[in-house]
Amino acid sequence: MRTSLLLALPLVAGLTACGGSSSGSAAASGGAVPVKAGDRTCDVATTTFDAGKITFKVQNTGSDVTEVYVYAKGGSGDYDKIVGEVENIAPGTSRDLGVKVGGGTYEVACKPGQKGNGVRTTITVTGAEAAGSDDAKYDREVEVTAKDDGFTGLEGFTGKVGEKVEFKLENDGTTEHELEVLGPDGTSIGEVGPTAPGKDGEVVLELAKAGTYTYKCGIDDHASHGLQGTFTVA
Amino acid sequence: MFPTFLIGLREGLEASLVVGILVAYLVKSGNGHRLRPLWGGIALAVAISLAFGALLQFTSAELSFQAQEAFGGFASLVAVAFVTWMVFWMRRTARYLKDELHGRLDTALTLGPLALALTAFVAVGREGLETALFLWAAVQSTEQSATPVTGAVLGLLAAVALGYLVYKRAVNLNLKTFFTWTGAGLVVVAAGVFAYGIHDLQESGILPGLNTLAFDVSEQVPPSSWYGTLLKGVLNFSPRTSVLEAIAWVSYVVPVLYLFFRPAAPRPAVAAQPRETASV
Repeated sequence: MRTSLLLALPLVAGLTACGGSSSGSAAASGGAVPVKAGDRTCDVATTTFDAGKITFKVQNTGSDVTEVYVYAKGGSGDYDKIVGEVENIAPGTSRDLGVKVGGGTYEVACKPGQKGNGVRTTITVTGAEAAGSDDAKYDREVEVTAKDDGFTGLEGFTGKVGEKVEFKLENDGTTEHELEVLGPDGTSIGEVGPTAPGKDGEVVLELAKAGTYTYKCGIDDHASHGLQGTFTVA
Repeated sequence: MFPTFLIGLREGLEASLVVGILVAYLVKSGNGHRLRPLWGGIALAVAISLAFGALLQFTSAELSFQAQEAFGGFASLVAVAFVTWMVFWMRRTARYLKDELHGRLDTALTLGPLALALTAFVAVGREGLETALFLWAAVQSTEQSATPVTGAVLGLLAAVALGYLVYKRAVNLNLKTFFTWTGAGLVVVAAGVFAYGIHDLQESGILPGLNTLAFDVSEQVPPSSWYGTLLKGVLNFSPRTSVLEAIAWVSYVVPVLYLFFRPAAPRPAVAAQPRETASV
C-alpha cells in the first residue's frame, strides 16, 4: 500500500500540471448547468429544462464537504427517488452530475456536511418521457385550463392507445396549479409541473396502455376541491 | 484542508486496516514471500481506480449514477466474500501455528498468490473509484487552490500510517491474542462493508427500502466530524442507517462471529501430544 501510493504521488503531481488546463468534462461543459452549493444555499443557474440529458456542474462554495442529489417524486409523493447524485465534493472543488430526465418536476438537493434533507431547489422539465427520443413530437394537442375549482378542456377527451398527446396547461386560477396524469395502474406517467397563475406549460405524454387515466393537481388538497378527473384510452 | 483530509483518511482507512492485518498475518505465519502478490493486487487496484476515475473526470465519458452505485454495491459484496473466506482460512491455518510447527503449512492449506492478490485487490479497489473521483476533482481544482489536493493526499497517507501502526502492533502480539483480535476485527469490518454494499444497491434501486430508516443520528454524529469519519472509515458506520442495512449487519456479524469463536472439532492427531480442542 505504501509503495503503490508513493508511485501514485508523482502521477498525481504530473497530472496536476496538465489537470488545471482542462476544462474538466469539456463536452459536458458546453451545456453544463452551474450549481453553486454553499453552506446554506443551492443555486441552480437554470430551473427549466427540456426532457433528456442534463449535466450539472456542481461547485462547492461552502466550507464543508457536500453532496448533491437530484430527486424525482417517489411513490409517497415526496421527492425521495434518487435520479442522480454526486458525493464527497470537497470545498473549493467541482464535480459533474449527469441525469436523464423526462417531463415533470424534480428537486436538486445540496447537502452540506453530507447529512440531512439538504437545501432544495425545484426544477421543471418539459417534454416527453425520455424514451431516447429528443424530439417532443406529438400526434395532437389538447388545451387544459385550470381554475381553482376544476379543470376544463378534458371533458369528452378519449385517447387512442399509443398516441402521443401534448397536454397544454393554462393556469387561470389564483394560485399555482399543476396537471399530473396517472395511468390505469395508478402510477404517474408525467405532468406539467407547478405553473404560476397566468402562465402555461406543456408536456407530451404517450398513452401507452388502454384503460382509465386520472388527471389531477397534486398540490396540497387541490384535487379534493375539484381539480381532478378521468379520461379513457381505448 | 481538514474536510478533504478527513475524506482521504476515511476512504483509505478500511483498506489500510485490512491490508495491515493481512500483512501481519503473512509475516507472522512465515509467509513473507507471499507479500509480493499482495502488493501487486493493491497496486493494480490503485492504478485501475485512478485511471478509470481520470477517464470519468476529464473526458466526456460517463457512468450513470445507477451503474456506479450498482458497481459499488456488488464490489462490496465480493469484498465481503473474500475477507470472510480469508478470516476462516486464517482460523484454519492458525491451528498449525499453535502447534508450533514453525509456521510451516500443509501445501493444501497454503493460500495461493492469486487468492491473496485478489483479496487485496478487492479490499482496496472496492472504494477505489469513488476515492479516485474525489481525488481527481481535488487535483482539478489546483488552479484555484492546492488545499484540497494536499488535504486529500495527507488524509490517504495518514490512513496508510494507521494501517502500518496496526501491522506493527499486531505483529508483536502473541499468536492467540493476535488471531482473536484481528480475526474478530476483520469480521466486524466485513459486516460494515456488507451493510454498505446493501446501501449502495438500495441507492441504485436494485434493492428497496432506501428511506426506511433504522436510525438517523446525523446530528449527533455528523459525517464530517473526526469521530464520524473514524467510525465510517473503520466500521462503515452510517449515521443514517436503513432497516435493511441494519438487518444485513446483524445477520452477518452474529453467525460469522459465532462460527469464528466456536471451538473447532478436534483434528486427527498428527503429533502425539494432546492438543486443546478450542482453536481460538
